[in-house]
Amino acid sequence: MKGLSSVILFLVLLVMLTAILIPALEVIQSTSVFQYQGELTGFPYSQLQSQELRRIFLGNPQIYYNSSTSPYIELIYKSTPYPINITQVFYYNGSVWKATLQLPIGIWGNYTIFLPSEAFNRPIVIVTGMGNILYLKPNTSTTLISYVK
Amino acid sequence: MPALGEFFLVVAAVLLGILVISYISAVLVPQENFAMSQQRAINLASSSTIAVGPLMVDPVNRVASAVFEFYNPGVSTNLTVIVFQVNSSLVSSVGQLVPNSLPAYIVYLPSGSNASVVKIDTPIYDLSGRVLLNGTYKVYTVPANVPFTVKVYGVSSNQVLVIWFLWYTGGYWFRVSYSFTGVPPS
Repeated sequence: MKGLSSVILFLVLLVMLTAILIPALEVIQSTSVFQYQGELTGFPYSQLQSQELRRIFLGNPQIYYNSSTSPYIELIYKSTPYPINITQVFYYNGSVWKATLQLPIGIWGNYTIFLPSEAFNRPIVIVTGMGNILYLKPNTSTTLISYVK
Repeated sequence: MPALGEFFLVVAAVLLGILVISYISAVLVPQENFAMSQQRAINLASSSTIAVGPLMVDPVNRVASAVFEFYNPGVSTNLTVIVFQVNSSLVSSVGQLVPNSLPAYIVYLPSGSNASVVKIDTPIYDLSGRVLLNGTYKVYTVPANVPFTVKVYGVSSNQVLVIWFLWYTGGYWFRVSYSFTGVPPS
């Protein structure tokens, strides 16, 4: 009788041991998961992105790239200004795309961005705050460009 | 001999416990860890977009350059970039293409400085958990939401540039996004 009860005791101990240790092991090994949960609650930004692109194609704002010896980009609003952010403007110097802006620019009305004179007669790309890239050849505007997304 | 019998029972119980725990830590925990990493990579991929600029090729020196941005305003993480060129006839199967070897390339941040280099020596998985590449690669790491420039050597103007964004999570490398760019029509 005594032998049988000890068998039961050990079985109970075994079950308890595994029941506690297995979840503990899982929790210890996977705590790093939780730090990602907050930052990955993504929002479908692609909608805002294509809205912005569509607005630019409809001319709100119209972006014109004047590539003279003192080149500049002109943003012209013809209806209620819808703010956009320009993260960066790159020009192609013959071998590589060069960034021109020190800081992003927030635009909420007609605006002119002056580019370095090396951009003369070179194509540029404008990166917007919504993650759109607009490709402009010299002396063209966004209503004419072919775009890549 | 009840004492000896009990002793063997103790030994058997301990051995069985060790066996179960070692199986869990060697098989189940890595499996679950991989599945969770994969899930995180899928989450990141589904909430992100890639902005792609046109590819400009200098035909004399065979140097190509393009602007890219990994866009996801909900995260501030680093992504690792792999680029390679393929013939433009292969564009339709760009998601299946893997490079035989990586070209010489440099990634510049907008400040003009080079992006930091990391070494990959574990397998790179796609989002379905399949191994894409398994080798040792020296690649560049860029922050998300920052446009950057890639300069690639040995590209001709009938080729397109494929870009992979890799993300390191939970000890595994995942290709969270890919895209390509070619020479724009003149």
